[in-house]
Amino acid sequence: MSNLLSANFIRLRKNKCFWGCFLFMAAAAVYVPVMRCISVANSGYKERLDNGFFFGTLFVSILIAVFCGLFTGTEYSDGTIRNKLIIGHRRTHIYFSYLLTNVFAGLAMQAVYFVVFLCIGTPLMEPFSLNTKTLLCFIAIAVMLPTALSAIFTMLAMIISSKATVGVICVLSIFLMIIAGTYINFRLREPETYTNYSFTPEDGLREELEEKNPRYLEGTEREVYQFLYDFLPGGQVLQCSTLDSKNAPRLPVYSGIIFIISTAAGIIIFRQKDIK
Amino acid sequence: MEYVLKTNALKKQYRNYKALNGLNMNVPKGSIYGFVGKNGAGKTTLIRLLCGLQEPTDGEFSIYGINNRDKDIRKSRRRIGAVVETPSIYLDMTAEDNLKQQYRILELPSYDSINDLLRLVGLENTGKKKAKNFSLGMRQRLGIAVALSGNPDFLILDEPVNGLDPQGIIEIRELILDLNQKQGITVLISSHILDELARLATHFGFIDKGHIVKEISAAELEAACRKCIHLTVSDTSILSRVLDETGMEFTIISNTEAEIFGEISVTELALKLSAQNCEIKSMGERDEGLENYYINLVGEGARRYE
Repeated sequence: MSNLLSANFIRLRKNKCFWGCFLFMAAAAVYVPVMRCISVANSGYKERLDNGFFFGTLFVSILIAVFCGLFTGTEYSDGTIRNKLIIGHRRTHIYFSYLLTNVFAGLAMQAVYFVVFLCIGTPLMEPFSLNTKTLLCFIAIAVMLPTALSAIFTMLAMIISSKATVGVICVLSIFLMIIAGTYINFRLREPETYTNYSFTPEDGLREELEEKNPRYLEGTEREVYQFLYDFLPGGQVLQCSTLDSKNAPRLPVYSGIIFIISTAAGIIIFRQKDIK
Repeated sequence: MEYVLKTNALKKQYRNYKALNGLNMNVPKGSIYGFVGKNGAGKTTLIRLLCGLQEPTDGEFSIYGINNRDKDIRKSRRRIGAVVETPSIYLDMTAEDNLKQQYRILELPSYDSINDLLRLVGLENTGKKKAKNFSLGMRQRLGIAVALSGNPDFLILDEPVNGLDPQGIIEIRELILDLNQKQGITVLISSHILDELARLATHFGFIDKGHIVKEISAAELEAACRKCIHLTVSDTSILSRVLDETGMEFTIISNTEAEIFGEISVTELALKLSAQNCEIKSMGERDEGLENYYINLVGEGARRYE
């Protein structure tokens, strides 16, 4: 498999889409801390590194979808995946070579954001306010999440033979995941009660009544929503970007589970796939 | 005879459609095997199975004596080079980079032979031009160069001259002949262009509805294809009377045209016709050829297709 990986990495080194994503992440890592500092410049308040350091997770999630669809989809559109099969490479090895290349690309994008952000942000901002344990936990999420997303998009790219279709599906999927995550977050944030004001027209007295919010999630339903918010990549993207997570230590584990399930499913389907 | 490829009752079914239906074929070592059949006959499906892109539904095949169910089939596939339908090349890479990619996945120790390979297919001067800017013929030749990267003993080419201009067709033909005659590479070549196949192939396999209708060598085909004399005369009724007298086999095409099979004495025939005031306007030898042989073999369906 090493020769397949080597061929993929050489192709990656010359891939315009990869370098475009890489440069975008570097530019975002300059833009975010600078803009944050400018926005609070007149208030006398100084931003901390926490604010914006994990924003890269949101960007990288979208860019991985674009990159995996195009990079792996090219193997089908140019027909070059056939060259690997014809000369007798195992399908599992071919699958893993793309998976590892895509994971590497995703992590490289994430890494460049972190490094550039620290280089620009450290002189401009206050140090991290998070304790080391929490910081490491969020770094683990930021590493595992692109890995899990790469596994999902590699699976899609390996089982859908059309580059255009897989490109669209990957990008749509990540936006749907983020929209789903936003919706679940919105439902979880519903207040348990809300205040109902009533006015008496004659004497103008105002009465405040605390009423139960019918949209508030309770019991098993709340647990299911919370689990989905923690488990699904869209929810993880939001939690990591905003540093707001109730179950942060669980998220990397969930990403690991997503990685294993999508890779296993992808390999099973790809091994049985009729390639044209 | 030693065979590079043997298939036995090979079947491939896509849902309710039987693309291959008990196909038996044998490709002799050192041959150029012309694989003839109309669209949908199963040519490309067979090639996909041989290349490991798809798995057969039933039946078996062996490449260099190794059965497709044997795990060592991967080793025998290492001896194959193939261009399936379109050339498998990275369009955003140069010819040289494409070959380097193939060398890497083949784990070849050095790139030294890349220039020779590019020279062999006539792409040595393409420099930094990317494959997406190549003509169809250049892409096809690059596809063949990629297929030749591992020094294969068996080359499979699916419709290699499709869409090429006459010059491109000649170049590909010369390349295939060169590979076969100078390097001893066995070639399995599928094509619609029967005239082109007739110039190349040493053996033919005719496929229809997913099975081989006939396998024949070029020498046997030549013997089987009857030669005839095509005549244009002023009156074929006189011609038929004269030919009946001589006991020749013939076919009347129209009032003025006929075909005579077998050896004839042209002078004798001309004198006899002249004596009955029948003028010979033109005369020429015709070869039944691969096309007619194929049509006779596969039937009217093929004629409509042609």
